[in-house]
Amino acid sequence: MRTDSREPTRNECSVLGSDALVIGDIAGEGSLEIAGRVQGNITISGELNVLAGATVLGHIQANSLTISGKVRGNVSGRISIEVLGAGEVEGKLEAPRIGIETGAYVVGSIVTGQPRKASAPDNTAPPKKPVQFGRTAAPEKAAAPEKAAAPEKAAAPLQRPAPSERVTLERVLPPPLVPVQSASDDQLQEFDDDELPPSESFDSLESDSPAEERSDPATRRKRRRRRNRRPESDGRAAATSAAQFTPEGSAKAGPTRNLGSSPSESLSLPRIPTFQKGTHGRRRD
Amino acid sequence: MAETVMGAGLTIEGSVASKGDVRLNGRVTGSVEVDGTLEVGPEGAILSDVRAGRVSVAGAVEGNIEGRERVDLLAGAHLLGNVKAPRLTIADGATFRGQVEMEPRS
Repeated sequence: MRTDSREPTRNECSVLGSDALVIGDIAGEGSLEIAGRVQGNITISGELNVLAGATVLGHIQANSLTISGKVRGNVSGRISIEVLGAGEVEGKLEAPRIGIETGAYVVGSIVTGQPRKASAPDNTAPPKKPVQFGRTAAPEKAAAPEKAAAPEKAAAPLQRPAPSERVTLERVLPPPLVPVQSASDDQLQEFDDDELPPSESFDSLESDSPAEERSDPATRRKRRRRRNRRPESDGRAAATSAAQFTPEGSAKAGPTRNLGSSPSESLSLPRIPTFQKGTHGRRRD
Repeated sequence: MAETVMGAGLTIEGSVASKGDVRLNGRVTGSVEVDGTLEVGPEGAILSDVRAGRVSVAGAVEGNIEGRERVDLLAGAHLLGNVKAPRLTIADGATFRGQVEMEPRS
């Protein structure tokens, strides 16, 4: 096991077996090999090897990382990150050197190069960002490996503007989140209004609406009724339709339901309505 | 069987569960559940309950230990908690404070 000589004593390699599950943070010195599942952050000084079949849900920080398993969380390497073909990473990759093999699944931003602090030549980093197999010229290794986290974050805004295509990926993602939430609230309220029982919504609509609008559907119904019931007298049909459909429009405020006036018509009535009026017909039964 | 080994420099602030064998030389603050054998090395420390098929402790455990088969407290072990196991050995030099519960073997 090749390990850095920085760890003098406890340079023990830890192994998390394939059937092991750790819920919680892992921290410490030495290298770690994960074949099982970890739900928590990992911060070690040394090598971290996420083997195939392993799953890490949490942020990872190590000196050098080799990922051929699944990682959901930010990955930060003080020296390097290597995502192999079987690897899956959803999160931010941050290291001076990053390698992604063909077939790897990576979603998130990638930041390579040296921290800004040491006045690293930035022109080497941006063009080589997208896919890196080989070793890019990593000029200064002495550039604060211990405090890698803070300076690299500071270096991030520097490098973003240069490759515009990749920044768009990030910028496309966040916007849906905010508007959707605000819009969903409105939509929910609207849905709540709409999802009231149809009868009530109709009642409220028609009773609240001015008399002119109310008269429109009524007259339409009258016309339909006249067409449909030729044998009956027009005056009577109009009377019954007016008597039975206006109270249904405003059932609460409606005067009466004189169903008993003509039983034959009351029986035949529910069949007439179309589409929306089906609810009325059902409700009447 | 896949084996889990925790180095001396590692700290897990949380629980560990494994179906295989586990060797702990690091520090675990949460519960440890192992189906196989759990070995707590001389530098290992567990600050919570332990359940395993076999438990052998050479380090420190502050919590109850339940071994389905057996529990061995080796020399240098430090245990603050109860032990429940059908078999228990306590080596010379082990520190133990707690109660022992053994169910009659059937």
